[in-house]
Amino acid sequence: MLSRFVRTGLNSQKQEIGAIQFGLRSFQTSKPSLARWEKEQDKPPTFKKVVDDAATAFFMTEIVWGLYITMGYFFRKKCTINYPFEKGPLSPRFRGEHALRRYPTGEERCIACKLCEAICPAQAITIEAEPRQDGSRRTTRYDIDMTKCIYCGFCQEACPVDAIVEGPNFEFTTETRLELLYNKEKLLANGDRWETEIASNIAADYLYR
Amino acid sequence: MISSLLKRTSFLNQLNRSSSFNRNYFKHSALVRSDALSRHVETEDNNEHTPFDFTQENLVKVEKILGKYPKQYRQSALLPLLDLAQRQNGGWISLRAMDKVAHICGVAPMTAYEVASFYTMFNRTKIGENFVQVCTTTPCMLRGSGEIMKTCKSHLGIQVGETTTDNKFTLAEVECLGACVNAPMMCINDDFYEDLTPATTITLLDQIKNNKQTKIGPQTHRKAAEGPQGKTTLLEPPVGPTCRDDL
Amino acid sequence: MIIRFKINEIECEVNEEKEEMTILQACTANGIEIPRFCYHEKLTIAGNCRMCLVYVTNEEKLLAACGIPLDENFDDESIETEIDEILKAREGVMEFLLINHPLDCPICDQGGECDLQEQTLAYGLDTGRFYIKKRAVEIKAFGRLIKGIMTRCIHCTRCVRFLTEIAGVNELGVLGRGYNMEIGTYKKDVLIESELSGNIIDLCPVGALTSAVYAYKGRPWELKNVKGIDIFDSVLTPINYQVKGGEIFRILPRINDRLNEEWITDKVRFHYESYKVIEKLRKETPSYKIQENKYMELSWKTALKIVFKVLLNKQNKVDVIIGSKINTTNLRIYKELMNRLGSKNYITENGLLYKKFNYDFRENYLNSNDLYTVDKNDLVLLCGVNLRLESPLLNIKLRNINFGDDEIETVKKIGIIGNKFEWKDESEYLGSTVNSMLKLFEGRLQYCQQIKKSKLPLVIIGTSLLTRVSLTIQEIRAALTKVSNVKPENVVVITQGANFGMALEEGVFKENFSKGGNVLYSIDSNEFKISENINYVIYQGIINDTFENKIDLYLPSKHYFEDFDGEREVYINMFGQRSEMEKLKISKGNKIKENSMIGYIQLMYLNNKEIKRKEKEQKEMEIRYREAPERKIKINKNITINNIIENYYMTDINIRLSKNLMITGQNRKEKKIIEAGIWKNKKCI
Repeated sequence: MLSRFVRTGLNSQKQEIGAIQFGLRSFQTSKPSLARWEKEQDKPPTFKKVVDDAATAFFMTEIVWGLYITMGYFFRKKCTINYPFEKGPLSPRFRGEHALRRYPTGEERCIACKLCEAICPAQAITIEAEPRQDGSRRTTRYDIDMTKCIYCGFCQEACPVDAIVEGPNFEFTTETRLELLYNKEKLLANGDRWETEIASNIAADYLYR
Repeated sequence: MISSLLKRTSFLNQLNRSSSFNRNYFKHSALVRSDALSRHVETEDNNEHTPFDFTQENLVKVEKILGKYPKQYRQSALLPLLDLAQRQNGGWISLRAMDKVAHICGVAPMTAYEVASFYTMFNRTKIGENFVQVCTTTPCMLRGSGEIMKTCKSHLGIQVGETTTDNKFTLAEVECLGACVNAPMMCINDDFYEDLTPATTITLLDQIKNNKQTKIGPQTHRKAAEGPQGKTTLLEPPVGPTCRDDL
Repeated sequence: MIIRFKINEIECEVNEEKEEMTILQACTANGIEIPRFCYHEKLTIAGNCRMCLVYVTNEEKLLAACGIPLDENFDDESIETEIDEILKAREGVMEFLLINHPLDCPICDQGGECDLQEQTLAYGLDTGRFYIKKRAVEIKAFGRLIKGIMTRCIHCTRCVRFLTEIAGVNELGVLGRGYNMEIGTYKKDVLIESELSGNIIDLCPVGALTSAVYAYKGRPWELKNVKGIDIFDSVLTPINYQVKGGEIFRILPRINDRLNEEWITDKVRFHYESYKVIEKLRKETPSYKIQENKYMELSWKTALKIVFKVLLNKQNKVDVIIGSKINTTNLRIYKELMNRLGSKNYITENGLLYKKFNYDFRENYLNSNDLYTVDKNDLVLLCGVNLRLESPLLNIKLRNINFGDDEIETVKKIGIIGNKFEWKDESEYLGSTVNSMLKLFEGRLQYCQQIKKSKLPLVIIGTSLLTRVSLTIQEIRAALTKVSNVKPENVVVITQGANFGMALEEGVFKENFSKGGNVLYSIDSNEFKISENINYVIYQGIINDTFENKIDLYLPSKHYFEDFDGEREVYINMFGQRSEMEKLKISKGNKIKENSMIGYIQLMYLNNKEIKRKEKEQKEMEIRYREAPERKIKINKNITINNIIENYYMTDINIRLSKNLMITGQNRKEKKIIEAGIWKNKKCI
């Protein structure tokens, strides 16, 4: 009996406030019409409404309903994870810490075309290049200022040889700012450490690139 | 998921590969020896120190050729002089020969190199005594020049662009030489041999090898380019001069 | 006849008699851009790329705009450049060009300033339809300065045309045909022996010819332009230093139609390599010699005190030699300083070369004729000048003289006295000694009749003559005008050194300088031999390689392009034209001072108060031709007039210290087949 009462009361509430107020208004661009409230004012409250309101207040149905939901979540499966030991899933497109990759032969991929440097909106990348001893075009300096970087992933998209990538690592906090000024060695080391993950991410995203 | 994607990509790759294989139907013909490389190849026969000079009789011819052009346009004599040098040098033209011709014409040696490398009838590397050029352009091909080519290759024992070990023959595949009426044909040095069959090709090559007299022109009973009924028009003898006197 | 036609609905007019115009030029003049690869304003028209096709009404086929002159056939016609047919034709041309062009833009040095890249973006198709294998051409080495990655070549033949027509060397050509066509030297490992060879790098619309010194270093979008001047030459070619982060990445020409058109010499294009070397080698503080090869570092204060002790010591006779790269402000400062010190023994480095220079008259060292109208001259006489080495840019101007159509006439229109050097066929060699020169003045040579016949002869007098003969230009001019109808302004003097005109204008010159004193004060000057009298040497400059061991006191100063008092500095070229240079900062040492600063400090010491910095306005130089004052002259007739420049690549310390230029110079000198760069043998691209 009670539950039925509560439910009907809730249903009416849901219909009025839930559907109309939140449902529609949240997407409305024009000024919301206040006609409904004006009508309510015009009408004298009916007997049914007075009784319903009094019963809701008297039996504390809202509190009971809130407790009911709380208890429901109390017994459900937990959605939080034990962070340092457990980690959530990451998209293959996740843009984390930068890395410079190598070819399977061990040769560095970067050819110093400077497209990443050109496109970087934060101007965080600095490249200097020279012909290497064997005559190939390589960088002598490849610096990323990670404090400037906004992790937009443009460098990764601009790279014609998939050399600079934003890997899945997001845990690279440091104690000083200085450690966030990455040089070529650090980036290549990152690449070596994360190569398997980066390669599988690129393979997973292959069709959409 | 990744594995399924990889599968799909490998499938796509296969598709690509097969399609590209199908599409890859452009094939250029074997490179002709004369324009095989657009640069000088340093060999023992042909280097900066190989001497070349026109012989006395050819020097007279040089003067005659130069005389055809006004003095300030003597670079026009470049082509005939290069040809003369090639004839004197045994069918090919050496680096020094080109330099000599350029000097006579008063142009930079580079101009002579440009001209000689442009025209396929100048051979810039050493060739054999007889330069066998088999035509494989469409009319000859339809009349069986493939067979002729095969016969030449097997009989001489060389591939296109090669010279026989006795230095007698060099084989080349050329484009149309303008004797389509009598296809298939080949050109050995300056002479055309037409209406060939594998058998006549072999006899021809043998005759040339043994320095015997050959029949120039059609190798059948036909005379020149006459049809089966013989000559039907232009029966009267030709009138007037056929060529300029000074040529 | 005035031709009226329409280009894309814009009405245009061309007066056929006044100006000859091609369709492309007319379009450009009306602000319509037509893509092109092979066409270049300064070269002859080749018309082989077919990119500039336009549609003309009543024409069956599309026309190549670059090669079609506008004549009466174009009257009342309309030219269309943006219709679908044209766009499609351009797409087709682009597609064919890209069949064999490699996709190596990321490692190509032309990337970012590549005509092919830009035009593919603007006019090309977004897909290709050719799946055949691309052709590859072997990498060619054209010496230490130019890298030839000929797979990228699109056969526009701009380089070939430049070298044959303008530079006058025939080392490059179009070889082979069709699929096998290549640009190359035919023989292997041939050097391009031109002082202007670097310009083919700028001309190449793709990355086939790139600079070997700039290889892989930078990208055009990250470089900043700083205006500069070529100070290795008295023409003062305007150049741009392209700079990034305190380092010169490369040097490109600025366009000046009157002076250099679009070209610069190899010397200035590649000399920047030396600045890094100099930065490494030079000391940051003044140093003082204690023993042989042992130097003690000093502070600026003590160093300048020593300078004063030496300069103000009345027993010392001070010689001051000022370097050729010095700017006008510094010239004035040091002149004032020397005047205050009471020493009149000052000269610029180039002044040392000359025997007699009457700098009272401006026409003795400046010219009003800048050879812009050289094509109107019908005879050229070169007296003691190897123009190819002394001023390559003027040499190409003379090279382009068109002597008219009367080629049947066997008259040789160019006479040469002095150095024999490669020139067009029509040059006549008149002798190598001073005697033949005097014969010419007296009208005893056969050639004199030809000079008399010609209407507008041009005479060029070089440094090698003036160093051997103690005649002034005025006197030579007077002698020549007597013999022939040479106009005085058509006697052109080629001087050496960047600011030599200004130095003479200020009077920084002294005859018979070598008989000077016992103390030498050299301000950024290297190129001379120290006389034996001198026992104390003060060197103020970048570094020294000619008399390094003899220096007793060394004061480090900045490079010529940093050595500024303000933000700009003025130079005067040999035509009296003013050229400006912007300040460029690359030096890392903070203790190194500007020459002007050192001069000001010295002046302050002398005056005991601060000197007001005077800024003199440099006005246009007016050159009038006057008669020479009479004097008695003795001339040794049997002196041969030799080159003053032996090796083009050894004339300045900045050039001697650039590795690639040095090796090029050596190779050319010994005619050695090149030991080419690392990219020659190894597979790297």
